[in-house]
Amino acid sequence: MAQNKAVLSDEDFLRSHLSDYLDEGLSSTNRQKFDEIANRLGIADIATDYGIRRGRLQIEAQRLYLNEKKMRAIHELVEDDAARANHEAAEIEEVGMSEMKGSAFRFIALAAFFAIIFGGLYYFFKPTPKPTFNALNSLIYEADVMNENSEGRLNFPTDKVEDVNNYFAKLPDLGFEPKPLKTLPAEWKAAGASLIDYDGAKIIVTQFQNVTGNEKQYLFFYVGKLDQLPKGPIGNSNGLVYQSYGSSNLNIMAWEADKNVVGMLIGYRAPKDLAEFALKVVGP
Amino acid sequence: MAENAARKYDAGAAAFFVETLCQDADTLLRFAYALTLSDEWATDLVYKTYKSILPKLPELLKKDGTYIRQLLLRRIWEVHHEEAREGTASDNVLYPFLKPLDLETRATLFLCDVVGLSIDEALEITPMDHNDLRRHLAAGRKRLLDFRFE
Repeated sequence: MAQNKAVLSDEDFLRSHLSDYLDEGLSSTNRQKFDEIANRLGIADIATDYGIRRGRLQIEAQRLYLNEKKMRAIHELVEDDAARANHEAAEIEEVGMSEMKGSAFRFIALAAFFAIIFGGLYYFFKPTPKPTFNALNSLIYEADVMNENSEGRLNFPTDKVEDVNNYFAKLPDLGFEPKPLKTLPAEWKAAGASLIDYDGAKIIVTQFQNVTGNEKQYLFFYVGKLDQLPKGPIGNSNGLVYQSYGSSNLNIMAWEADKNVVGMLIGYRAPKDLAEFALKVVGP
Repeated sequence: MAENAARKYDAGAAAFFVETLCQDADTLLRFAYALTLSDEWATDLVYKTYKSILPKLPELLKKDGTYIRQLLLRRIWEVHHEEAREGTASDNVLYPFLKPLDLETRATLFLCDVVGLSIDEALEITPMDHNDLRRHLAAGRKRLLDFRFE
């Protein structure tokens, strides 16, 4: 029988409206239809799962970029001989740098002077750094994958909190000072730590495991601001103000752990319990 | 005419090309990879696309960024169809994810979920029936939900 092109199947309707559903761009009628189909098919969490997978796809796609040489080849489509000559001169100059050391030294001294002046100004007036990755989707995905099997994903296996603190303290170019972990609640132990690098965005993660079972929790820190995350329900656990989220199987609480540093704890427990854990382990 | 003769673009047009049009180069490369499944051919496709829009450069000076990006994406789709090629192997982690999908499905998935276009915007790039595009998008997302990136 020929396919009725005018009508989408329920599954096609559901999947092709996922981003509109996540962005709350569906009409109330279509939203109702979406929920009804998702529930009927037993995939009520499909939108959350899709959000995580789409985030991962975007991260993988961002690894594709044109290098300088290929970019220059495109620029040369419009550059005239003079501009091209400038490029070639720059390359020749690069090769002959040894002859220019004297001038370079004077230039560096001058540049250093201005760098100190402008660096100081920048330090006080710098804009809030923005994470270069979709923090919520990416870190839920990372936690989800580590939760299934952390082998090969945690590059510093240890069960000692002091070792985790020393490991993070020695990581170069993090862009922030990691908050040291305090003594853990008796029912939890450290179960490895790692550094995740998303195209230059550095994220540190500690895995915790419940001593009575296989339950795990993941504590992430990265450079950013809490208000760069989607708005979520706000909670307050003895002064630790946090936002909470949920995926298909995990709960998430995030808070501003330091100036321009976001902490995010992901696990199975309720956000309120996660917040209490965070407060005990790293403080507000 | 000599190969290295001066191009007939004034400094303003050349700067516009480099500083505005080329801002979308990485986005084009990602879309091109979805079409060709090859790093090398994707790069080549991006180059040919930019080359193909050079005659339109003067009129593009007056257009906004959204129009320009749509034009570039549409051109890359058209240029790809002039000499459609598809890689049979690649080290890129996206390759095993994309390979089982047909061209239209890969294109709609990337346009909507990587570039971030709406359905109507994607239809301007890959002319097809509205519901056909939604079916391709649904198929791509089914694969996305089932696939595990290593």
